[in-house]
Amino acid sequence: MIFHYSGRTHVDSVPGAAAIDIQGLQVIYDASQGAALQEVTLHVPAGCRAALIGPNGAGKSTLLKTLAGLQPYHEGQIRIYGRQVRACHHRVAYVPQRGDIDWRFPINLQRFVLTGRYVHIGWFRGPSAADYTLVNDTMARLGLDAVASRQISDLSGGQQQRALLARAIVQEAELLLLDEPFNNVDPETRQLICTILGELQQQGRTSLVATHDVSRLHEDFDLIITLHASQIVRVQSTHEYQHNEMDA
Amino acid sequence: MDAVIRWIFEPFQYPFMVNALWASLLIAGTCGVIGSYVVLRRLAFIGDALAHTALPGVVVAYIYGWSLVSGALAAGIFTAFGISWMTKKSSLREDTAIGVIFTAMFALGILLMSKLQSFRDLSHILFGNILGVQAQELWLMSGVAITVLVTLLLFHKELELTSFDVLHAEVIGIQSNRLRTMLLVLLAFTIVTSIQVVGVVLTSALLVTPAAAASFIAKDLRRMMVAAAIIGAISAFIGLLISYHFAVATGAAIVLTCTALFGVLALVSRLRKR
Repeated sequence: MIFHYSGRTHVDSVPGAAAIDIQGLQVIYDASQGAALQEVTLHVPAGCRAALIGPNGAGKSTLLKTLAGLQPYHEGQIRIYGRQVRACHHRVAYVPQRGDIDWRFPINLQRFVLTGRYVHIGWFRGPSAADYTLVNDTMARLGLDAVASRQISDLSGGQQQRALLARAIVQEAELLLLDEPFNNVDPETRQLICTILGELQQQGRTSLVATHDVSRLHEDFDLIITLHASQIVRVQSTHEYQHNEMDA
Repeated sequence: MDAVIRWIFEPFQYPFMVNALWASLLIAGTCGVIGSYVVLRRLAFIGDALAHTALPGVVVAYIYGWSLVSGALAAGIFTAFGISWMTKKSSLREDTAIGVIFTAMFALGILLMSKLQSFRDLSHILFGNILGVQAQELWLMSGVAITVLVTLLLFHKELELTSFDVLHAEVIGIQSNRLRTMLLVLLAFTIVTSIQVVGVVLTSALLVTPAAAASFIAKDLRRMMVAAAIIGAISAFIGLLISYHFAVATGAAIVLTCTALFGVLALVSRLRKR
């Protein structure tokens, strides 16, 4: 017997639906400051690696938070695998910016990654042996097994970022939303994150990654989405993006 | 050796000392466990507010001849929900809003007290009256302790998660606001019973000091809770002995013992790091 959070079990996706389908989205934080996102229309097919680029304050984080169900929206329509936002908590994994987490909290890395399984475990139950196996295997895949019992406060920036990715992976979500995962990480971690996103793509999973780091976008992503001043100004395939960059 | 044993056990030939021991062990233990959240979620100020706002509840209950504990409990729960509501609605910063409301409530309690003939009867609300604990009150305290501890155990993994990563919790469907309100209500329960032991003024010390001391030695939340409960219980025991043998205020003796343990553990952890 599983007591699901918010009483919601897994909901199947609509067959053939896009991973993300947004029509005319508008998000307002504070009426006096104008819209944080306006007239955003976006289509990201399932199994795509999409990068979300643009200057600070363009609305990248807001878009990710809205898709994760953390930020209410006022106009427009969002469909994730054909369903409404928050229709299925299992399907969407959100990787926040590193600064959004209290890293001084007394918890070791293994237990931290285990919180990615909670959506499957629900209220009043503990993790099973299978949950632990998945967590340990994922930590090993991300080169974190040696520090599994270390406090999260004692991890390096790159290790913390990999821990966040590990947690999203064990959630077994179909859509991964990553907010600035390349910020202040070592080159090995950046490479590892991209490799993992590639592997997830092989399994048919979709990722949307907000980033400042525009180097090598064409190698690591299939779709480049440019946000500027609360609006999407360009959506390009890697091929088009590379072409335009060369022209510029 | 015999003298030491006598020094330790002599006080407990009196039934009121035995009651006091049970009460303070129960309360200090429970405070240690829930206090770990108070420290990690930075709720110390809210804890203090909950303790202080219990005063008008107690005074009103006294005036109308109701049970003092139920008066304190009603005021505490009212405050817990009030704080949750204010956090959501108010444009004021949370600590400012709490500062305004809880000092007003406390002043109201003092005002009502000063109108009463027997000001002294209620002074034990301010400073605790552990030596006057009745068997009946012990049952109530046990009930509160069990309720608080069982609830914390049932919701442990979700309370832990929302303490360091609210966003992930919300994304997977955990309503962190509701959990926080629940925690504040449990805190109100705990505080109301601990007012018996150390009084309104010193209650937040029992919540914060053992847990803060435990944070020096414990590497995860569970161990921190156990360590804080043990530190709280040891302080209660030693504090009672000191209070008995040197005829000093019990609540203050317990709190200062706790502070001394905090100092020792802080020193040990610092030396270890060198």
